[in-house]
Amino acid sequence: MARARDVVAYLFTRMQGQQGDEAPLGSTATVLRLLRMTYLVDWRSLITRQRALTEAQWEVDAELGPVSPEVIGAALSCVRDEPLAQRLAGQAKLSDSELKVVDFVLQACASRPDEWVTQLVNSTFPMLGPRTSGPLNLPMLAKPYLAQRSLLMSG
Amino acid sequence: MDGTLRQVHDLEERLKASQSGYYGMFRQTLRVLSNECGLGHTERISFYIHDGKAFVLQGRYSDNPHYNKTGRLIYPDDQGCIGRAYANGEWFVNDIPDYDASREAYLDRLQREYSIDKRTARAMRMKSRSLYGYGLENHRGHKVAVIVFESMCVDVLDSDTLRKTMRARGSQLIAMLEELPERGQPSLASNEGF
Repeated sequence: MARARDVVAYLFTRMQGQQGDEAPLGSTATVLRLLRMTYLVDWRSLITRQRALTEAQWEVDAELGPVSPEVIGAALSCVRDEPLAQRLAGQAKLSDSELKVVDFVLQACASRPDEWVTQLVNSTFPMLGPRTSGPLNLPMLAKPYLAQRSLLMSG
Repeated sequence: MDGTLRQVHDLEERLKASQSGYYGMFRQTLRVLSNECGLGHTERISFYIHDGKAFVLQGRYSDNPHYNKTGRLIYPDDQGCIGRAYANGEWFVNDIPDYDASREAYLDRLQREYSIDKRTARAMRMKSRSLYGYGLENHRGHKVAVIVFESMCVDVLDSDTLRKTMRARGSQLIAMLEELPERGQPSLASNEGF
């Protein structure tokens, strides 16, 4: 399992185009966007690899949706201190399968506006229905979602 | 506009930009509907949006906290009263057997007539005996949602009153539904790989 700050730093540098020779992915890496994309990373990992990618503890905030103090802290650090973000990203220990998940999220969200990313997060199974603040047990929610997912897919 | 509706309208204005306000508004509107229809502790209202091949619970209200709880979120669109109301525009049933008095009769009826398997029916928190479902269309005439009134008793729900109420109030619910651009749309997440 990866450290949340490594994933946040990787997302940040890829979006800013500071990871090697990669071109910027076209969206501004705000704290809120990094928070939402890290949530999508963990959710995507759970439904494809049956385990979260980061060790972040997620909660539901009635207004913001999924939040993690640790991820918000890491995102704040990256946004305020780009050299630190580059250093963290350079040292990040992410396996190939973990990078595949993070890159999937980057590709899905890169050219999309913030509103779309917010709608995507609001559309994920853990965010459906009447929302109340409290702990968010993503692993527990992945199983019923996978059992019902075909009902929501087109085609 | 009466006092309660004015409060709801004011609250809507203040909170319309936030997702939590959105869900709160749905609940308050369903509460107004519940009061208008004279529903009590043995009744419940649920609002479902249609997405993909399923319905997704969007809001729920009951005077009874036990029935307010959210269980399943996703319901196939060819099952239950929701599916019937969606297909036919409305659906009313008032004679489902009492689960406590005759469990097998209750489970058989739901399985035979509503395609709800016995395991699912057993797990339902509210073993309703009477249901009225009303399909809602958006301004383009597309069926987009269903509202379901349920009661643990027979002869409490009056289909004529509920139909009249929904003809008057349905457009408000649809307007709320379409107001928030960032509202969750489960098929979007599923189709994008989430």
